[in-house]
This record gives sequence, structure tokens and C-alpha cells, in this order.
Amino acid sequence: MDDLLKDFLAETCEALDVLDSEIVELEQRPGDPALLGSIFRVMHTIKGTCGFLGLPRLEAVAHAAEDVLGRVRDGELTISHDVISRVLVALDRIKELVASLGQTGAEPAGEDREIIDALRRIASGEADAPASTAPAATDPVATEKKGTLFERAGAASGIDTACELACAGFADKSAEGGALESELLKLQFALAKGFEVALQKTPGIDVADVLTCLADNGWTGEDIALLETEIGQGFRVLGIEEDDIAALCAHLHRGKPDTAPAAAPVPVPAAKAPEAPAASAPAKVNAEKPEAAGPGQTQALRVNINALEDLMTLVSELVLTRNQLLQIMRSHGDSPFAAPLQRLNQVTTELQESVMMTRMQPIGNAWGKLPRLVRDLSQEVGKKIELAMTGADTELDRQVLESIRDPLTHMVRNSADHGIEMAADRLAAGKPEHGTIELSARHEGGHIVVVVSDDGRGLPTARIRDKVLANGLATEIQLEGMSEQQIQQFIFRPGFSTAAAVTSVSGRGVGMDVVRNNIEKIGGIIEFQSTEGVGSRFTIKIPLTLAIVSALIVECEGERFALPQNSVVELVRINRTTSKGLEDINGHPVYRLRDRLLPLVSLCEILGLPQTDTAVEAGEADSMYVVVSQVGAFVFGIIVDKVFDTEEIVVKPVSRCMRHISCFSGTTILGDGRVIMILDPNGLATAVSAAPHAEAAALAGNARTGSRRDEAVSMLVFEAHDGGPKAVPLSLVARLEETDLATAEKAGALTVLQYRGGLMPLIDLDGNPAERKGKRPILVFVDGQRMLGLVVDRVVDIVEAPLDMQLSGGGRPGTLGSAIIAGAATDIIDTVHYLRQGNADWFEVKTESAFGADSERNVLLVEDSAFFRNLLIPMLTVAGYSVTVAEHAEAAISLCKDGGPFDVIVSDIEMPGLSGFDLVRKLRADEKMSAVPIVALSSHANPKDIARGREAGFTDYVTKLDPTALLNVLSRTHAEESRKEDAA
Amino acid sequence: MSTALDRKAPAGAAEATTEDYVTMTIGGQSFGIPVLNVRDVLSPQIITRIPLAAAEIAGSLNLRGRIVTAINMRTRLGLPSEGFVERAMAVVVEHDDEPFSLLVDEVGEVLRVPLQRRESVPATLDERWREVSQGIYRLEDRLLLVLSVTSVLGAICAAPVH
Repeated sequence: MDDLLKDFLAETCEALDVLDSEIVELEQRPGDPALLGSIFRVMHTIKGTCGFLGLPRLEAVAHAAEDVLGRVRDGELTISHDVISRVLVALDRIKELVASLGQTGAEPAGEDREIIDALRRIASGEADAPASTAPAATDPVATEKKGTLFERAGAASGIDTACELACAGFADKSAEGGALESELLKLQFALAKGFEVALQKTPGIDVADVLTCLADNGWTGEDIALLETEIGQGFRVLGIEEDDIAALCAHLHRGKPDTAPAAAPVPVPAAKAPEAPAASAPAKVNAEKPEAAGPGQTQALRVNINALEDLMTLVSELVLTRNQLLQIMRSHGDSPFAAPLQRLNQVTTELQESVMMTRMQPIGNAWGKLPRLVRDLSQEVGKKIELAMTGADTELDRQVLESIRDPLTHMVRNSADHGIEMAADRLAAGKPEHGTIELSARHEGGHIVVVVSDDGRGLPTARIRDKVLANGLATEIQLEGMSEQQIQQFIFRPGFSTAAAVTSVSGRGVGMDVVRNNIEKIGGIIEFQSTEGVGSRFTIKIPLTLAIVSALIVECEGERFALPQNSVVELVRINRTTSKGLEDINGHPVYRLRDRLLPLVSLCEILGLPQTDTAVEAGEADSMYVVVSQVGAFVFGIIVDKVFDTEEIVVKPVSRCMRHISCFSGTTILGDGRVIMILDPNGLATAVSAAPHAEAAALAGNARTGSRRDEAVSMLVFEAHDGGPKAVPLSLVARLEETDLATAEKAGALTVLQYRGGLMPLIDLDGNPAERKGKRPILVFVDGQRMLGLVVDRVVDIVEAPLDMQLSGGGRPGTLGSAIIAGAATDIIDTVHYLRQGNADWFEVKTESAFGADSERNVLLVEDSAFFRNLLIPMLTVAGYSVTVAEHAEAAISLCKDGGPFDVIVSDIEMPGLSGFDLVRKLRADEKMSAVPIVALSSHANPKDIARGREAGFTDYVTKLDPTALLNVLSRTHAEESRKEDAA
Repeated sequence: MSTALDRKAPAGAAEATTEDYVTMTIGGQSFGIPVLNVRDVLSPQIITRIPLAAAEIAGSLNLRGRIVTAINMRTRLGLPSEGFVERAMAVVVEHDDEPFSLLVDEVGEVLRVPLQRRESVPATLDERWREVSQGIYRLEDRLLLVLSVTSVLGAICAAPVH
């Protein structure tokens, strides 16, 4: 394939990508002349170049499309849906042809009559004039002059066409021109640009300069004169008026605008865009045509990718050498080399950054095809979809860009196909008719964050759940412990598709797992969030570059390895002798890291390194290190012997003969010149567990519940004699014991157990003193010196579950109600009831100390959760308060106005509608209520929350599941009140 | 220390009738590699072991910033290689644009031998030996086996032992 054709292909491919989105954009902004001009120009260039290169099929299609666009531009044709579709069809055909041209170097045989005819029909259909083969010939009779000379000359595209005609004519008539070949095209562009510069008076090289340049390059006066004549002729063909032509030609000569060249007075019949025969003779024109840089044009240079890659490799070498030098330097202390080396270090770093920059491309390059895709899709499935893109100029490494192109396309397609609803459904759901898919990219600390979101129907978690169960990906119990978001991550599992039907677009069950793999392969993370009815959102976090990464150097059995820093979460040192927190399950080591169980894997074992005793002898065996790593959502620990520094390493590919080893992602040379392997956390994770992600979800579940602000509560599920599971909030249980009840003793009517230096009454679930026989589990409730043991038959499990009370207790003593926990109807026991049974003075003590018998206090309890109302009302009542209940803040406000007065208000923070903070602000604003103590009740109580609560006007802040603390606070507030009263 | 080789090209008249070989010994046997295939000869190097890799792969070494995979030629030929890697000389060759170093006991001189004296390898030879030998020369004092770099490395790269 010759270079000319290659250039053409490269340019055309780029232009086509732009055209795709521009045409779709045109449909939305039909009146935008700049946009239209740009499209027309691109199409025109393709047509012209094809003609020049002798590609008749391409030229014919492009020409027909150009005609249509020309008519649109001239206002003879309005942009309709049909017009756009036809042009897009033509564009597709052009792409096909170009693709095949790229493969074979020649146009494929075939027929485009259908497309061309359709375009012709459109071009002529609405226009009065019959379809003409000449591009947009204006009626010479119309003499009224409008617009500037530039516009009258047909603006950029008209001038371009005229120059094209001129060059072709020139090539035919002059021996010199025939020898121009590819230079002719450059000449044409230079002339066109020159005219534009001259007419628009923009800075740059104008057409006169171009001619001067030609003369400087050895053109004869005759040739230049001929060219000038041809230019005039070109304009004439386009139907430009004679005086305008004269004015245009005047621009060819700077300083002497009146000497128009002797334009041939004979009118020449309108000609089609000529196909210049490619003559073969050495070109005489200097290849360096003036390249004008207008204001809207960035100065760019087309560089071969390989050249850039080579440059990158060289810089990598330089970085390595620099590292080596620095290492030597460090061990030498003072040296005359220090200063220049420092400078070298700096320059190398800068050079490295600059070279990296050359590899950077705007992410928009990966998006270019998406507007078209979405448009086609919306047609196909009959939906109305808009694609909004922000941050298209965010730059990232070429290699990374390539890796996310397909995943992004897939996600957008998914959103359009599954996410966005039909227009009718949307209207019914009260959403705008147009669905919107948003694509955004931004930098975030060395990473790029790409978000694909839609405002569609979202993914119903229930459906994912069902599917997970059906596919056996997780058990019901596991799912029970997961938050909605964790369940949603299951869509990334292989073979998972929730689409009910397979459409032509997506839903074939291949998909999100591939997407996730692609993203994770480049060290990225993908997350999915969805709210049913509101929409869904994919968040992708990817590194900026892959070529140079920061890595942690670890050692195992004397061998060093590099572990990419971005997958390292933290480092833990474990004392081997005490090995606190280290346990094993069926031979698999696990480690208790704070609130999670970390599966561990020994690097030595994975890599099959022979275990030696040297480490033990050296006394280093005292401690071992665990590198806590994260792959996607899967967190695991890698046991290593030693941990060294982190280093910036240049990733080099692994030799072909070792590429099958999944544990390595690359290799590198350290500062000391040693070669080391780079570990691949993905590969290691696979080695840890065949299905790491199931575990991951479960683990992540345990880790996250602590911080989630939802109603999920840890429940202890147990069984007692009358069958059916029972549950109690775990936070109310102080300890679990298993004791032989034969050791219990009798004290009056009670059964008591000597427990931790005190006597603990034991009762069974009916509230009776427990029978003194058999080994039984005991739930221990403790408050200061007082204890109570509730004897049960069996402790089943601890489950994270939202407390959604389905049935009320129905008057059964000891039961607050029933909820579904782990898929079974479970009675939630009324702890307070049992506490009273076992230890009658449990609460009385406090009430006596805090309140006189005559001072019954009015408490307003604002709490939206039935469970907590049920838990707190009896407790407060028992403690001697008169309790009024409001289920939400609004009710509380009206109660305060009409009812009351209340001595103290206890309010939940998180409530639907007005929150606790809103409530307290409203109440404090009321003069009557400004002094009433208000206690906040929340499932969380970290110092920040407490501070915020106090700021809002709360008197105190208590955790929900700590009833005694609430009572303490209530009595304290009361005491303070009394003191104030006494003082007054 | 790397020994730059004297790559004197066969001058004018001698061309096509003789071939230059870098000679080396592996387990007492002389081998030769066409001199133009050899990029470098290195004294014993620090070699990083690669866990999980095929047995013949001794590890990787750093040759002026390039990472070179070292092949244990003793293992490749089924010879014992206890303590061999640490003292082995490395002959650097290229295979499919990738550098490899062949670890051998000793590297000898560059020998010019007439092409017509090349004979085929005896069929009785061990399979592993026959696979990597392209021919044999009867020198006065010893036999010189011609080592085919492509055969040595092709098998390792193509069929990973895993």
C-alpha cells in the first residue's frame, strides 16, 4: 500500500469517527451553521481525496452524501430524521469501504446504487430544482449580493471545491502540474486555507503567500499564471459572480489588488469534480507547504505509535539507570557527582513525565462512537435516549484507553437496552420522556474515575437475589447478611444476566463479568449501584498509566518480588510465637483483622518455594508480615517474610516462556540492578480461592455494616423449647455461656448461678426459674453488678438483618413481634420483659434514685421504627415515665403544640421526612420548648455525630441499643433540672 | 565482565565454504553456536530464580538494562546441574526478538570449520540431544555438536511445563 493511501486511510478514519458524533449532534441542533459547515467540509474532503486517489465507489457515495449536506447547508433542505438516517447509512458504507481498503489496499467490488439513489431522492425530493450533479450551483440570475465575499464565495467548502477544480485543471493543462501527484492535494489545501485566511482576515499564511512560496520553490511565472487562471475558472464553475471572482483573484496578489489576472472570459460549462489522473514524475514542489495555524487549530504532529513506544522504552531504561546511580550514590555519601546526579535525577523525572504525556489521549477518543451507538439503539428499541458526556478531554494512557473502550461501550449499551424504559413507561413513572445516559470522566488522585449512569428503571435487587439463589452463587443466609449494594455486585459474576429476554442488543449472558475482567486486568476497580426506579450507575476507577508503577518490594525465602502498590491496602506484622489472631480453618490460615476475617495465603506456598529453616535460625521467625491486598472487592492477606521499601518500577513484559504463570504480571530491574518479578494480585487471588468473589462479598459485608446507616442490626438467633427461632439484638447480650445447669443453685424461688463473683438468676423463656439439669447455652445480660441468664436450647446463628417487624407481639408476654430473619419467621423477644422477670429491681433502683413517687415525668418518644418503640416504651414505663409516642417528627411538633407539656423529649435521628436534627431545630425555635431537654437517640454515636447533635440543640446523645444509658441520661437531665429549680 | 567477541566476518573468498562457531562445553561435551547468532558472552551473573517456571529456566538476569531469561543447558540436556547456575558462563542469543542466555560450563574460542565436513547427528543419541543438535563436526581432538538455538528455545517457549 503506498504512503499516500495510508495517509488517506488514517485521516479518513479519524474524520469518520468525528462525523459520526457530529451528525448525531446535528440532529439535535439542526440550525448550527458551524457544525453543518464542519460536517460538510469533512465529507467534501473525503469525496475529493477519493476522486483524486481513484476510488470511484467511495467517491460516489461521499459525493451523494455531500450533495444532501450541501442542500441542507444552503437551506434548501430541512434536517429531518430521515435525512440524518440516510446520511448515516452512507457513512456506514464509507466506513465499510475504508475498512476493506485498509485490509486489501483496494476498493472491494460492489454496488452502492441503492444508497446513492436514496440520497439523491432526498437531495432532490424537497428541493424545487432537479437534482444536479454539480455541487450546489447557485442561480447566476440572482444578482442581489448578500454576505461577505467569503460567504459569497461559498465559504470554506466552496473555496475548497474551487481550489480543487483549479488544481485538477492545472494538472491537466501544465506539464508541471502533471508532475505534482500527491503534492497537488497539498497545494489544493494550502490554496483553500490561504483564501480563507485572506478573506476572513485571520492570522496565518494567506493565498498570496502561497503563490510566493511556489515561486520560491522554482515555479515559473507561466505556471503560476495558469494556476491563477484555473482558480478563477474554479470559482466560475461554482457559479460565483464575475466581480466576486475578480475580487477573489485580487487576493492572489498582495499589495496590488486591482491587477486581476487575465481570467479566461469564455464561460466554461459546469463540470463535475474532476478525477485527476495520478501522473508519475518526480515532484518538484517542496513538500513543506505552509502550514497555517489558525486560532482554532492546535499544532499537532502525526507520530508513529512505534516511535512513541520506543521512546517510552528508552526512557524506562533511563529511569532504571538513574535509580541505579542513586542507589550507588546513597552508599557513597559525599561525592562530587552528587550535584550533577541530582540534576540528572530531576531531568529524568521530567523527561519521563513528558514522554508519558505523549502517550496520553483524551478519553473522548474512546467515546467517539457512543453517540451514534446510542442513537441507533434508541431507534432499534424505540426508546428516547439522550447521551450526556462530560470530561471527554480527561487524558489517560493510550494502553489504558484501549482497554476500557469495549467495557464502556458495553455498559452504555446495557444502559440503553435494559436501563432506560420505554417512553410511555417513563411518563407513567413520572419521569421525563427522554431517558438520559450520563458518561463522565475525571481525575482523582492518580486515577481516572469514569461514571456511566442512567436514569432508567434500575436493577431490582430482588431479581438479582432470586437469580443468585437460582444459580447457587450464594446461600440465603449469606444473602441475608449482605447489603443491597453487595447483592448488586453479583451482576459481575460470569453468566449473570437479569434481562428477562435476550435482545439483539444485549442480554446474552456474556457481559459484565468480561467488563469486570477487562477493568481489573489493568488494575482498575468497578462498582455498581442501582436504585430501583431511579437508575443505575457504574463507577470505574482506573490507573492513569501502566508503564511505570509504584510497587512494594517483599521477600519470601530469600527471593524478592514486587507487589503493585495500588492493590496493597495495609501491612500487618504478626508475632509468630504468640500468633495472636492467627487461626486456621481446615488447614487454611485466617487472620482476625479488627472486625473482619482475612483469608491468608503464603507467598512461598503459592510460588512453590522450598521452605527452609534459615529464617528460623536467623531469629527472624519471630514475626511475619501480612500484606493485605485487595482485588476488586476481594480482600486477602499475603504472608511474606520481609517487607522492604516501595519503589517506582518500570513494568516490562514477562518472557514468553513464562507468560503462562498467572502469578506474575511483569518483571523489572531494581535500583541495585537485580531482576525481580512483579506479582499479579489477580493471579494470587485466584490461587487463594477458586471463587474469590463470593467470599469477597461476604467479607465486604462484615466490614461495611459498621458504617452503614441503615436498619441492619446484628441479631442473635436461638431456639428454645417451644420451637421456632427467636432472636434478640446482639448488642443487648453481654456474653454467651454454656454451663452445666446442675451446678446452678436454688435461692428462694430463683435458680441462680455463681458467675464472675456474683449470683446470676437463671430463667427460661417462659420467665420461670430455669430447671437445674443438663448443659445449656445461656444468654447473659449484664448491667453493672446485676446479671441475668436466659437459658435457651440452642444458639443458631448471628445474622445481620434489617429489623422489619411483620407481626406485633399480639400480647404474648416476652415477645415484641415477629420478623423475617434468614428466611424464617422469627420472634423477637422482649428483653425488658425477661429482665423484669429475673430481676425485679433492675429498673426500679434507678427510678427510685431519680424520681420521687409523686413526680411522674412526661416523656415524648419520637421514633419511626416499631421495633425500638416496642423496646423502649415498656422500658421507659417501667422506669416510671409516662410515655407519649410520635411516629415521626411532624407528629411530634404538633404534639408539642397541642399536648404536653413534656419534661423530656427523646428523638430518633434518622427518620423519614424531617430528621431528628430538623426536629430539634424547629423545637428550639419555639420559645416554649427552648428549655426542654431533648435527647438524641441514634444507632450510631461517634464523636462527630455527638458534636453535630449538640450543635443542633440536643441536650444529650445516646445509642439506641443501650437502654440503660438512656435511663442514665434521663435521670441525669432530670437531676440537673431539679438543681436548677432548687437554685431558683 | 562481558567479553566482546571478535566477530570477524568471513572474508571474501572464504565465504559460504566455512562457518565460524563459538565453542562451549556443557557437561564435558563440546558444542558450537554459529558466531553470528551470539550477541554476548557473560561471566557468571546474579540470576533471579523464577518460581513456577519450567525446570530449564534458571531465572532472569539483567544485561545492561535488558531482562534476559537464562536457560540451564545442563537441565535442558538432562545432565545433573547441582550448583551449576552460580558458576555458569552465559551465552546470550536472540530468539523471536527476545534475548535469552544459555548457561554453559565454559566458553571456548571461535572456530572456523569448513561446511562440507558437517555430518548428521548419530541416531542413537539421546532424544533431548538430537532435538537440539543440527549436526556434528569431527575435529581432531574432539567432536563438536552444532547447537540449534531455535530448537533449544522453541520447545521451552512453545510448550510451557504446567
